[in-house]
Amino acid sequence: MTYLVMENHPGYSVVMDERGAFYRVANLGYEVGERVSGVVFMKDPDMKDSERKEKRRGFRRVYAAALAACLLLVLVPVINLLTAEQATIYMTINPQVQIEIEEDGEVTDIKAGNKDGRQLTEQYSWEDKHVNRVFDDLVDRAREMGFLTEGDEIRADIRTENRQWAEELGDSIFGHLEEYTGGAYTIVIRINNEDYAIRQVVAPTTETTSETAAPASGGDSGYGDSDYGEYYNTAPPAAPATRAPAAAPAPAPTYGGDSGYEGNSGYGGDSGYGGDSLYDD
Amino acid sequence: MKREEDIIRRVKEAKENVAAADELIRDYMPFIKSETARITGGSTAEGSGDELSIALMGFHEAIEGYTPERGAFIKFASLVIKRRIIDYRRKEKRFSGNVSFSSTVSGQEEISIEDTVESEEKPYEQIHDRDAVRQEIEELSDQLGKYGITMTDVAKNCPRQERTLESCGKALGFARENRHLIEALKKTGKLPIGAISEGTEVEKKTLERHRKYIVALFLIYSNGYDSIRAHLKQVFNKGKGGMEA
Repeated sequence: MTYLVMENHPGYSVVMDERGAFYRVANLGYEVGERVSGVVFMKDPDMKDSERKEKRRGFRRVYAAALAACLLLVLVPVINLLTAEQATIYMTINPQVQIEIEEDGEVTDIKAGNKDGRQLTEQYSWEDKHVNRVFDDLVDRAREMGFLTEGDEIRADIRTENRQWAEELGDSIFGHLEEYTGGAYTIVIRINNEDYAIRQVVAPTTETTSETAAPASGGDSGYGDSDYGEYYNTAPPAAPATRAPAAAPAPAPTYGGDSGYEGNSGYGGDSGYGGDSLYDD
Repeated sequence: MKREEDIIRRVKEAKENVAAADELIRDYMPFIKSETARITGGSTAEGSGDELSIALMGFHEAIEGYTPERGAFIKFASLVIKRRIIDYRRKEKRFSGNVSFSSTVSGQEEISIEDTVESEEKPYEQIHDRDAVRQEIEELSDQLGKYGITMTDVAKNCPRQERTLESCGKALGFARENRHLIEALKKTGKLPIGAISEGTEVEKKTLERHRKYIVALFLIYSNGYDSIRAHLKQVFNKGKGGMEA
């Protein structure tokens, strides 16, 4: 998406996108009449006020569906009860968890999307927790249960009509996951079926052959072709399509505290990922 | 104490008045710069000036979000600025290592990647004369001023929900098919909300709530703003009943 700069102020610029929507964004040295991309949106306090008013009239919730292929977490976004909107739910063939959150990020419900998801969330207490905390807990559990090993992918697919809020949520989850997991996993954030943020890591392997190296794009990596949007302008580096042999002890990830991760997850190697993401891309 | 009262008064004024906000930011530029330097651990003159821009935006956000219950304004502003810079740095770090679209192609210093990539936007670039666009934008801004509307008002009034954006697109589409509505707006200075609501089945309250934004759209689609319209590839998602620019 590109934006036409309409007006400049010391604290922000006013831009118009290709759809005719206007925004206030950080003024990164723009000139009026310039076309720009990669803007930084200003947070609108009035929006929050109006949303709070809607909350008093009705109730706003965000439904999040979390997928775990290599653990995929999918977030389904805000449901506006005034208009009785239905959230979009993605079905997966991997451990799948659906997380419902409120406007302030507090989790209101969690449901398993499949059998592995049930195992993942069995006897898990999510009450009164923020979505970032729930992500941490589920990542920890997934590691302990062998669903997640170093280099695997954690994916969050956010669906909401409110793009700005989705980006704030995406930024928050991405930054938090990155910090919490110490860069051990590939993190993918998608918003409304578009890639928003990707941080890819290459899993450590003791043997990497041309047979195990994944194609740079396409294939079963789930990345598709060049569908990265404006934030990712190069093809992803080749990543091994198969997991590292379980016998090779992975170096201990550098987490802030004692995650209890000993290195050998005992993961058998079969991700159960059949290749068809079933995403409606 | 007096100083605090003074700043609260100025912040209150800045919330209502863009010029007052701009002035307040200019007056507090040294504070914003020093906060940026403190948070980034270096002089703001070094490296990217983007973080200072983010800090300036953060200060503006603090103006808009401040209430006396939040304590001293400067302390609040400092927190908002810090939060914004940290968020920005995280985002930038996330994309670090990606090749910038305007970087030069390796070994070919004269050619940028942008030049080597075929883009369907290039025909647009050929007709996109920035001076012409700038002039149109200035004219649009003047015209909006006659309705008591600023670009900032339009941005604040623009809907964020897709559904509402589509409704505004419907209103525009209807007006384009019934040009007398746009003429009525220019003649009377008032948006014919009743007629639009009747013709589009968009609720009056939606049209009223986003009046300033719709007025801006109507003006853009009146005569004389070809270059601005050229930027609009697709207004409000054609697939959902929107239209091409």
